[in-house]
Amino acid sequence: MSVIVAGLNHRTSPVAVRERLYFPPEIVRETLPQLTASGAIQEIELISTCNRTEVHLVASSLPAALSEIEDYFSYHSGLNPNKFRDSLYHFSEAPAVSHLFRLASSLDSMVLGEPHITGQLKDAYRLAREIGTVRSLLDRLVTRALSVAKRVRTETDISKSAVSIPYAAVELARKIFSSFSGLTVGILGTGKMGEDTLRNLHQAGLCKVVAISHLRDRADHFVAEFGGEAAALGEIESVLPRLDILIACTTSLPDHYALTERTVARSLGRRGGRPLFLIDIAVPRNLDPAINDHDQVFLYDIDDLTKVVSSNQDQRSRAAELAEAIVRQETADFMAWYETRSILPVIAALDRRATSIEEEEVGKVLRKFGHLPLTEREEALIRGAVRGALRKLLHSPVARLRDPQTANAEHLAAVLGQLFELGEMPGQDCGED
Amino acid sequence: MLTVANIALLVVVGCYLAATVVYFIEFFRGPFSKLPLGLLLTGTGFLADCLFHLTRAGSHTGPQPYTLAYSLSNLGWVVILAFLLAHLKWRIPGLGAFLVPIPLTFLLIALRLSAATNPVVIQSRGAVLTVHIVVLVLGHAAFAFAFVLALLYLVVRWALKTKQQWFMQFTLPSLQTLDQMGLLFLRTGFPLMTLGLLSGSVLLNQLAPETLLPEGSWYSKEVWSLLSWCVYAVLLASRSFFGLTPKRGAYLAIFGFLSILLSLFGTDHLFEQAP
Repeated sequence: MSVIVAGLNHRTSPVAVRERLYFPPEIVRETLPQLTASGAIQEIELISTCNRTEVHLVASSLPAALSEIEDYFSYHSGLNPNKFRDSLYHFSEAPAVSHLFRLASSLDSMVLGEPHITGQLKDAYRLAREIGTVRSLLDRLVTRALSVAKRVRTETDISKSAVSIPYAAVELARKIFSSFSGLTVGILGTGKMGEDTLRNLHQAGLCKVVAISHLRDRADHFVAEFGGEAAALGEIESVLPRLDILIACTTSLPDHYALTERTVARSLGRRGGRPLFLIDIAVPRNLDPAINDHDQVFLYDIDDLTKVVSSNQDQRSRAAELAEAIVRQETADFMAWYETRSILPVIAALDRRATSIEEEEVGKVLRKFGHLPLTEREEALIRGAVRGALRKLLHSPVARLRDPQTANAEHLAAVLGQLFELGEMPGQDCGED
Repeated sequence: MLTVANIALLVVVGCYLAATVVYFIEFFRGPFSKLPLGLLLTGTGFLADCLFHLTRAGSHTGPQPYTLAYSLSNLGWVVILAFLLAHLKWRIPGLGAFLVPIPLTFLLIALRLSAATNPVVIQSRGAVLTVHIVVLVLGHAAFAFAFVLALLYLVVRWALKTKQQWFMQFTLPSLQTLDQMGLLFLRTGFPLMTLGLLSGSVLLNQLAPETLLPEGSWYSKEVWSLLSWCVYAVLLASRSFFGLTPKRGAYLAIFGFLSILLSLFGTDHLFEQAP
């Protein structure tokens, strides 16, 4: 029985292929049990995100399992397997375990350390459990992967700092304001990045939005989504004293700023000493750089934010080295358990056989001494002698089987099973311990 | 002589020194481990400091000898107590790196002074002396906090204004938090200091000045204490009524605490020879 990972991701396939191979949860719920019913695959879960579609499975034959997966992908996407075969990757045993741990820890993500993949893996696992396609081995593997992800997140800085412009802006705002509750954010223009930044700030707890635009109806678009009020660009001076944060993302000509230093200077007296955080993500810039000279004003343009993101990415790359070491160690630990799990039923069967022989032989001896009533101590001595002899006999083979250095432990276990006539051992195949 | 008090004092200095180093390294490089090493060292130092004060109090049967060194070590004790309590309530990251060095400095100065200064024994003067000492120590501890928060405010503000990339990785409190907490400590310390100065002047009227410290020293102490009080009064009034910016307020809080330090022990040395 092998642990196998197969799938495609943003590195191996274009979006045109990935979008066809996207599996919504309702499709997974309906179709995944068919894969385990065929017999080639014993356990399986499927994770499908915008960047990857991947299956994690337990199967006895790698080629048979891969063939099933190819057919499954082809059938549900409507794509000829030739269209995606070259994009498919697969791993088995230790590389598969390592891949899953890296995936859960966001080391395989497009944005290193992004937190969503762990949640997506958790959802995929939950769904697979619900539909009964995850049992003991995959259950243990995925649970372990999720705890490795937790360990990586807590022991490294991999997901500590923002690596996108909108998140960097939110992170900077947190360094200025004690709480977002009660703050007012203005958005100047209707740029996509500005909208994303506003959305992030809004999700972080901002409650009031003022949308400022050349055209009042475009400002109304933001008001419809985030609430608050709309204002025309000409009203900016009257609006500015109420704002705590202003996101500028409108079009302007070079050196023709939508907000000048003089306008800001005039409004500062009416702010009561509150800080003003200005985020200028437009090119050409909307906000006069001289505004930053004012005491309580913090102006960041697109270059400043890009530098923050770049610095954070470097920090994440450094943290990733430590995270990779954690994954290596956890993979080794898991494989040590995994490699001994198939011999555990043999050891348990040997133990049962030894106990039964002990009972049988002690019973015989006691029957022979039936006319001489033995004391409890004498009976214990006889039982101890038989048990000791049996344990000594089995100690060496069992220790050899348990030793991680032993090559072909599974083969040795099978030989032992035959020599001792242990018969069928429950759980030997499915990895139950 | 190696007494329990001496050993405790050595432990205090050692722990605070180690805590300062740990806090500084953690400030720049992040925590060593999940174990709050800096806090553990500070807590151990504080317990040893309690032992020191207890053994010292137990060794005197009569009135306590008043020395500047003793006053400084009391102040250090209160600052650390306030730090530990503040940690329990707010857990302000980065505070230890700036705050623990203050009582450590007090202790080191106290150690140096204790050998050189002759203690002046104050006979019991009842409630006035107790009030004077307690409120001033508490007030000074509050100002020490405000001083550290002002320093942190200026560091954070400078990093944000000049867009320092390295700064982004630190989990320091926000500018607004530092400003609001600094104001809270200033507003706590100011009435205590006012009460301390009032009780001090009452005490001066009760005592012949020459029984306490040299005359010139007391004169300069009064002047500097009054100056410190004025700085804080101007600072609080300007912040509350005249729109003083937090940056200027931070500079004043730093200046105010430096003037307190000068009134505490600088005057003894700078103005010792004053007529």
